[in-house]
Amino acid sequence: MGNTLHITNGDGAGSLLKAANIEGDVLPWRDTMQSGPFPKGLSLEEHSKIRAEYFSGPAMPLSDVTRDFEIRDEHLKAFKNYEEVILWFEHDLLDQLQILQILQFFHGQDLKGKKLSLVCINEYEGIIPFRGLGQLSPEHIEALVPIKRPINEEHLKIANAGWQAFCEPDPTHLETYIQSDLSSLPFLKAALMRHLEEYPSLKNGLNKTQNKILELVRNGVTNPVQNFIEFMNSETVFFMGDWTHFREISKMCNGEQPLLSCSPNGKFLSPPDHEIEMEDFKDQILSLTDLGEKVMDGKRDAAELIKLDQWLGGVHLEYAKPLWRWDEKTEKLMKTEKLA
Amino acid sequence: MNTLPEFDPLFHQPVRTRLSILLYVKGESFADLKSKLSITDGNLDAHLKKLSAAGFIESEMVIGDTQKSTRPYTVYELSPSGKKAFKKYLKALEKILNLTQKR
Repeated sequence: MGNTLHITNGDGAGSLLKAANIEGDVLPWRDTMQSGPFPKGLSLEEHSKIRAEYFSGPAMPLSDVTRDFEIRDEHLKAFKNYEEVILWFEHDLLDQLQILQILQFFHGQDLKGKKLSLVCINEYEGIIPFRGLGQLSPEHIEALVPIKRPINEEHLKIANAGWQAFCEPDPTHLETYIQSDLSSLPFLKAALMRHLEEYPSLKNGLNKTQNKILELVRNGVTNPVQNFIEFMNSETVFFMGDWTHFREISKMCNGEQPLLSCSPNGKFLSPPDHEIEMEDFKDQILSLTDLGEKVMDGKRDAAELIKLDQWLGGVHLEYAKPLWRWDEKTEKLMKTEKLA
Repeated sequence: MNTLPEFDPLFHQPVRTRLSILLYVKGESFADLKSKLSITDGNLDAHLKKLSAAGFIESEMVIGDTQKSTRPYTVYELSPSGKKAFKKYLKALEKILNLTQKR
């Protein structure tokens, strides 16, 4: 497998490929994808600039994040130096969006003489529950090489259309796209449906992740680490790293009208945004505030309380403007003014 | 008469030669590279991108590993194809050295 570029869903899978002594260079596609802006009509490099701004903060200076995106993009553009490019991904939303972005890039390229292949799985014998490639051993990874499938023009067309729909400022484009024939990328439809559930719900203005976090706290899962573990156990096609989970908790805990309270500090403190000893971090206890209880009972609109200002792909959700909301009953998005 | 070897211009540049030596040996953070090479951020940035544009850089995100800091940082290293190309460059240098020593 000489002269191969392996693009992986992150550093974990990349390290496994190296440990499995699979020949070739490794490029981990570091981006959480499902949150933060991907405005319409921009190139890979233009999106990377915006993503770097989105991810940068006190723990990650803009210059460092920008550099890593630029180095990543340069490496992707070096695909011409390789005989084969193999994508290593799994079924979840994060990975399916990464596949869309990468294949959309290849859709516009001259691929004459290049082999493009995909390893994408949603299960592995003996690994239950299967969450992702990161759970596998180097031997497992090696055994996946023979199942790689060639990526053809049809895959590239579907991915290109999907990426355009994801970046549209009007999410009905994505809803329409989900109804089209996506069977050649078999995990895409379920993943994108889960993406739609990340819109604020019609019931209370919280997205599915936030609702689950509050529900777990209400049911006694008050430790932030345990809350993350239980959350992940409840998911099948959604992957969120622990930092992102803790940022969601911060959003609901540290605003002017908090839905969560945290002892002993009142505020929820989490690395890398706050300098806190791991022991102290793990000892924090969450509880629902009165407002949190009201939101869970559908009596208050969380979008307004947490001053929602969030991007999902190309859609900018702002609490002060009419919002696209997810109706769990009809499984459709609706644009609404404030909730009654 | 021996023909003179060709040098890969990607490596045959004062900063990139030294940078490649460091990245060939082991993974290094941006801060460590900058300090060891005594160059500016912008200069190091440009050289890393140049190597990456050939597919010669691999990187790994490391979560802060000290008790006090949990800040993530990136470690860079020559990729397998980068190491292979750099070895070829070293062979060319060796050949030149051998030629001059024979005189």
